[in-house]
Amino acid sequence: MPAVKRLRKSRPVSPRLSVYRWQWPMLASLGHRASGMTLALFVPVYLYLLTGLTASPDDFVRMIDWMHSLSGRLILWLAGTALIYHLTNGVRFILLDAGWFEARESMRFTARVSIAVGVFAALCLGVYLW
Amino acid sequence: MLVPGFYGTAHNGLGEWYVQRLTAVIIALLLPGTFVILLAVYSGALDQMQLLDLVDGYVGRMLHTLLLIAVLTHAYLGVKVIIEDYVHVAALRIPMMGAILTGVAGFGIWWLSVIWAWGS
Repeated sequence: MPAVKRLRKSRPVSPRLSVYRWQWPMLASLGHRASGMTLALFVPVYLYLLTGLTASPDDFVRMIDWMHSLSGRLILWLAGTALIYHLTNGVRFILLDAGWFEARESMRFTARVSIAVGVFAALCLGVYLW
Repeated sequence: MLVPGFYGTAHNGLGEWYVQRLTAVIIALLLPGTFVILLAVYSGALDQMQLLDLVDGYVGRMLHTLLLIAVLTHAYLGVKVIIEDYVHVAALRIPMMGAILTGVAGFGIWWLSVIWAWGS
């Protein structure tokens, strides 16, 4: 077992953000995680909205009012942006798994496309919500 | 050095990798429409009766149930990967995953009870 102990010490610890130079695919991957966390945190909000919107007519109006408040709009904007980015980059990841765009240059290009779609979605949704 | 068990639960990896992608496809088909419905309610294009017509039928309930199982499974596996990468202390990581699993199960039960209780 000593060999195992030595291995444990020298094992690289993920993610090594301070080791690698920043690249578009790295940013796309981090964005995928960040947007995924945002969407996971939106689950309770979704349930709150679903419960209120399908309860009494008064509850429905209360929920609509909340959605139109500043915090409501911000949360919808964050969740919508995260959803569109996560969906786009998720399709990219599945295509990568299937062997598409695996070359270094195309991987960088598709990462830029994902991020551009995310930024565009953020702008469009911002215009729609305000 | 491939000591059995040393790499943790790595033997589950392929199954989780596959489930993550299978649930991703289900979510990609169902969640965008759900968000559009939410935006339609936000903008006033859908009133409460029209919303209930969409979600209160058997098809709506079935699709909603499928979506919630896929979303919660996908979220659990995704958050698990993030925590396994960033939280290196096992004594912290394992209780965290336990808490998240409990939370996911709780939301699943709540969500199902909301969907299947309409009209009763």
